[in-house]
Amino acid sequence: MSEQTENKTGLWATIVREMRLLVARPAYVLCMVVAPLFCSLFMLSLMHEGLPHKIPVAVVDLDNSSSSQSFTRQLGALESVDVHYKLNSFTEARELMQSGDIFGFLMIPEDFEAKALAGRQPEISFYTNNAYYIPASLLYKSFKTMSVLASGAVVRQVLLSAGAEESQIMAKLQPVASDMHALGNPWISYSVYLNNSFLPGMLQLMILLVTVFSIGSEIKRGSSREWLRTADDSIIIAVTGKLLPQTIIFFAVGLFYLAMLYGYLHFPMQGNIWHMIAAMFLLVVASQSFAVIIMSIAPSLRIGLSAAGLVGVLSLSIAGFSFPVQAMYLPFQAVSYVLPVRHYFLIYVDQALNGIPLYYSRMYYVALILFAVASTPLLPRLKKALMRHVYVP
Amino acid sequence: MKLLHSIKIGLADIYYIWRREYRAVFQDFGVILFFFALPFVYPIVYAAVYNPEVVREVPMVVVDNARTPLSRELAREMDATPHVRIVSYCANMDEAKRMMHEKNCYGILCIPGDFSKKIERGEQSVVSFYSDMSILLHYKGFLIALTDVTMNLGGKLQTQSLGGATQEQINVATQPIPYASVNLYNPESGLASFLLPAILVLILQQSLILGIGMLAGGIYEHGRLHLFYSGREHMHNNVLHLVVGKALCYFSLYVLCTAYILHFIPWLFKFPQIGSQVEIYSFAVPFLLSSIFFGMTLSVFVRERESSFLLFVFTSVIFLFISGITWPRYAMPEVWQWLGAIIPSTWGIEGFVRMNTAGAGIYDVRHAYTMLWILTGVYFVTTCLVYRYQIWKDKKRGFSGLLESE
Repeated sequence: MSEQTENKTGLWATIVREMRLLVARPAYVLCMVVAPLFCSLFMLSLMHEGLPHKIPVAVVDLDNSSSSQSFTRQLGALESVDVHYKLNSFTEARELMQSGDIFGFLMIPEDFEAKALAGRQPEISFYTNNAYYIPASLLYKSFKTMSVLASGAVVRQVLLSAGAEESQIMAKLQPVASDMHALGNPWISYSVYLNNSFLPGMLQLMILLVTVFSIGSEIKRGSSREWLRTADDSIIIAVTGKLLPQTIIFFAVGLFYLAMLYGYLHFPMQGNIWHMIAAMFLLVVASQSFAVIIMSIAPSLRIGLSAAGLVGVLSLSIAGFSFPVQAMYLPFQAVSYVLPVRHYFLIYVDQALNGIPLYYSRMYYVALILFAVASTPLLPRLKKALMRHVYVP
Repeated sequence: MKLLHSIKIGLADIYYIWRREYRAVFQDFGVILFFFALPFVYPIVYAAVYNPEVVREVPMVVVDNARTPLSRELAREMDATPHVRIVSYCANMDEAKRMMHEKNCYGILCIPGDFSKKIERGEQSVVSFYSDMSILLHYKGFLIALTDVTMNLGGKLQTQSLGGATQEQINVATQPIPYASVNLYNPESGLASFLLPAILVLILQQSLILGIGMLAGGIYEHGRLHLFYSGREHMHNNVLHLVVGKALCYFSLYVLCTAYILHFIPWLFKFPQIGSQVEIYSFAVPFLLSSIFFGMTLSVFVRERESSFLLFVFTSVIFLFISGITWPRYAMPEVWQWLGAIIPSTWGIEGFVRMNTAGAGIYDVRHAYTMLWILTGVYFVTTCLVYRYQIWKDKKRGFSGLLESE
């Protein structure tokens, strides 16, 4: 049986040969299936709440009046805040902040109630630990809301005593109100925000590494000529036969991601799911092609893997998932557009998050297709390297 | 006397392994890349990517259906904030949406036609803002700008309605309880100042794991393990010496990297750096040791030099998230808190961020510090066990490899 297949050549024989290699080494199974699935389970369960709730804070209440206590109670009733400590001095609060027990604290000054009643403007101050970005942002918002509401309560009391009607009070309190619409993600969920970009980013990383590893291993083990022979000495058949099984596996993982995100977890999907499926397929093929380009330029396993690791890991930062590309320095803006996952991300924003016409995303699809075909002119170069197969440790 | 003698031989043995490992590291170009090039280059690249720290002047458009002096003032005030920049005044929502679809803007301020009329009638006027949610930093900027501007404008209108009041009366009437907000430790809320300290610590650990993994993979691949124990029979293949000798080699090499990454880089990029450097260095000792033993334990899974990449590169992202720098640890599911607790970088990041960024002393981070020493002990034991196992297996196979001893 095995002798028969060894003698066979052509595309099918190359595919069979590759499938044998894939199951023979646990590292492949780990990187193609286990690691991507673990990443998705990890990330999705880590942030399943959407936003961190009940962030521990302290209140330094120097007044201890019924007003200040009622204020503290109302603060603690907020979903994002948990008044974990009630302290007596700034120093205690600062120390708790430094040791990480709390992410922020709020100070109510002495004579808070007396001053508020007398119209002598007691000042509330709050401190957030901005070394931790997400909790600090949420706390800032909560503290500010509560402080503004405290002012409002006093004004309301004054207006009521002056004989104003309830209906007039809102207009007096806040003549200009704002109504914020967070399009597509009204819960401001970090899970929706991060997982839609980081999971494809991780997938791109694994595709780059595995593709480079599978081609580079042939060079390293001196089996590249045999590989070419199986493919009738055609580099096109050789590369197609090698990458096709991987394409199918990675695409299946990608489909699993899409099913998890938009099916099971019902993340925003305002457009047509087929647009995302197409984008996912193109991301897989584009990343594979990117890896082939790396190997054609530097046909060495180690250099290839270093480059793939560098590109894959930096993609998560430079593709602009968290820090917008427009705010980066110009060279990084340029680099971001030569990363396949950047274009996938932009398609996701258009098609899934905002659900706008396909027309506006056309260039990103074109870019991914270009990535997919960009490796073909370099294939003769790769073939030459495969024929020489020199292994540089 | 016998004890003294065995200590002497033991030290000589450790020294021999230590020296041998130096040679192994410096003869391997790939390992040199991991141990020196990676810790040198990555911090600079990451710092440069995030160096703008904050997002300013995010483009937005205005749909002003009121077209009154007051509505124009509102738009002007928005434009004047550092967070946003008005790129166009659109005739209607359709035009504004098209601008947004073409990514010429990320937010739309819509002022209704009866905006001023309502205010003059003494009613509350509501303006709507539509924010693109692809980048949360954009949304955050829009929200802060919008809240500040509408509140200031509201305050101004309240003042006008008071007519003839003194400044103090106005203050009391509009804001009877003023507030002050202080951003501690990262005053401008910069992304680099928040993220980089964590990435720096992670780079130290990951480059160690990758490099040690590659060395181990090379030894396994070429069947050269016996060189580390055969020919030293008088010490009877003491695994302890092997592990300590190797660890000393990595530790001594990483003293320089640690100083560069944890001391020089924050200084170079002007990140918050208010901790005591001496205490940070003493905190780094158990962090380095636990990372080294962690890497040596993990290296048992590496069967080939290059599979170090495949096995460990993707863990960087997981280790970063599990450390709690973005998503606070207390809010994680318990299983991830447990997993995070056995990774040295979790405690390394926690301690370093608090000491370097928040100026805590080593006493304030005693929990993380103790955890790192515990992990050092645990991973030291596991390292000895896996080395013992590998040597045992190697012997069973009978030194299968080239015997190119010196």
